[in-house]
Amino acid sequence: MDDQAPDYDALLDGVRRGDQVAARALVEVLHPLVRKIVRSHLPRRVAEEDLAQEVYLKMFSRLEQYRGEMPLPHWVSRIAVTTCIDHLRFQQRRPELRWADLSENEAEVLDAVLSSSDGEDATDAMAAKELVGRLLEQLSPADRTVITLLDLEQKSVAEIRELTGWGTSMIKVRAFRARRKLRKLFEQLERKERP
Amino acid sequence: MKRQDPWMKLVAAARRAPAEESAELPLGFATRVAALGLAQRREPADLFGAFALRALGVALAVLITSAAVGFPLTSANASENSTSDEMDDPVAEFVAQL
Repeated sequence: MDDQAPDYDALLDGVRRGDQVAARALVEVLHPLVRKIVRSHLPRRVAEEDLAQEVYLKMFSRLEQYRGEMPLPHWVSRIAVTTCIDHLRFQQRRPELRWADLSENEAEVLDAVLSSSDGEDATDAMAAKELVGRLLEQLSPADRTVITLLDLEQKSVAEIRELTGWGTSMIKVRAFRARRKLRKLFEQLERKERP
Repeated sequence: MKRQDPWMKLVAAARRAPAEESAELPLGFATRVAALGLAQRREPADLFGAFALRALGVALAVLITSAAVGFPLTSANASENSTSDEMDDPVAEFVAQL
């Protein structure tokens, strides 16, 4: 039963008729997708559940605008991505990242990736993930979204286009800009901050 | 030997981090969100349905009444004004005397 693709048309018809069961089923079916997007683009001090709820409420309120030109999950993913970006815009940008602000594990990871050796296998994956989050906070919300999808989640440009609705060239420009900024951050940390 | 991009090394390490907890929905979350979503869908339509037609009817009634009452008065005033303008035009009177 779980292997069957959900019947989105039937669920949407139910929601349009005001059927509570269909609305609940739609939320349940879409939750893995929404949760994944929300979790990977979650701003500081915003609860995952609150953000997910906002995505679903937007989906319900805009349902009349959905014409079936794309699969429902793609349409919902765009709502989720833009909702996350809106929240990230409101989030104050973190002050410049300094070596002294890093935890011991994060500093070790940074030291390892800045060294020329290929010793990344020895780095603490959780600390690396934390450090990635800190670095991503230095980017603009849209650039952060693109680089998260591209580098962290290893999605293709075509997949990002589907998820966000942005054009290929915009995605490439954002990725280029984000990587350039990250490179500068690494250089800055290495030259000025490295103990 | 070319140095590997530190960002790429870092994300490669971050990708090895174990996935976070399962995708279980919080208890009652779907029910609450579904109820809120459906209520939200009903509200604007109900409000619009309740007020828009009445407002439109009142607006049309006011428009027609004001047009019906105002037009004869306006046209009468206009004709009076045009006559008085002719009579009270000092330049015309001065020119006529020349």
